[in-house]
Amino acid sequence: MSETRLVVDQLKFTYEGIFDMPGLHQMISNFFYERGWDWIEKLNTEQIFPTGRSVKIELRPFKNITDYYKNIIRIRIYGTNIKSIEVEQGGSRIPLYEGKLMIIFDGYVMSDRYNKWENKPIWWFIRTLMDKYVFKDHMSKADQWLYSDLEDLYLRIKTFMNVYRYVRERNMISHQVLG
Amino acid sequence: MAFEDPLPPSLIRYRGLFDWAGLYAAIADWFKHYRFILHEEMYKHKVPSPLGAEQELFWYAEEDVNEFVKFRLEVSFHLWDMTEIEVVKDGKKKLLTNARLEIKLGGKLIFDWQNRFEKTKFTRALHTLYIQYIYRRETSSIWGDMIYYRLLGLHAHIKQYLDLQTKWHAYEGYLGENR
Repeated sequence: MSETRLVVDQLKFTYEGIFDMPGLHQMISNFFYERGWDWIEKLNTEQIFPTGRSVKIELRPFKNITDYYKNIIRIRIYGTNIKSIEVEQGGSRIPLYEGKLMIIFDGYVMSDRYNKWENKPIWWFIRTLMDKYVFKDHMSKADQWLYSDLEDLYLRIKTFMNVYRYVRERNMISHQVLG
Repeated sequence: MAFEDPLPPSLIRYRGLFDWAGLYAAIADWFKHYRFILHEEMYKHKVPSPLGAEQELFWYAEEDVNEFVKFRLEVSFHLWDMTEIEVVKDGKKKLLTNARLEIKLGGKLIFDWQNRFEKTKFTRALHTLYIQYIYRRETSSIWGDMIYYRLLGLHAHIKQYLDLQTKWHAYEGYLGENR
């Protein structure tokens, strides 16, 4: 098995109010498409209740950044009591949704994605040694790539949902993880 | 044994009112459109309980891409608490199904489906060399991507039919063909 390191652990975004659910999904998938990530939609659940729709989605977009490293982002979207409403703006009616939303992000960096360095214990040992000391910079570049894309996505979602944003938020996730 | 490369599975769950007969036909049409040969391997209809009937179906569809490569897609349906409801739409009566639906999508990329390399130990070694070294990029980048994004197209087609909130398919043009 390749080694998968958890780099961003459960970054959460919670929102309650009016939002555009199809637009949010469209924005997230377009973001990954534009940046050349591959798309995996592991789970997509939608239930219609009298109180509104309930949505549970798990996405696993990934990017093979080199022959050795792979970045994976796990996005879990939970929506409850989503009801469709109409909002009047500039004389026209816009169909939107109202409800509760929670998005959880996890970021992983997978190394040795072809499992080439695991056939013998000595190879595995050499790989660990190389990863930790010799190719430390490569590893940190993969981490930075992941932070950067995840931060951009997080900020785009915040902008899309029109929530309060701190001006110097750009390196927020890196600061949170690296200290 | 032919070499098989499985695709990441995905799951769609839905609870509510939908046109089951229409969905059945839409998925079968999709396979026909992409020249897959569709097989219905299992069709189970269980004795209805007071909550409704239960159905289980398993489909697989195959396409011989060339003498060496074959695509296989698998779809399994499971429906619980099925009840039929008559709805009037545009002045016409229509029979819809109210149920809990689960659709599992998966598949695999099959190499040497005619087992031509299975004759001797030498040909088997040649096969491994061909798949894992000489033809490696083609396996993942050309055929692997083609079957995976085609499966993702089917996934989007089902979501669109069920009119889910997340029906947007950003990767629609990825293979340069219509869904």
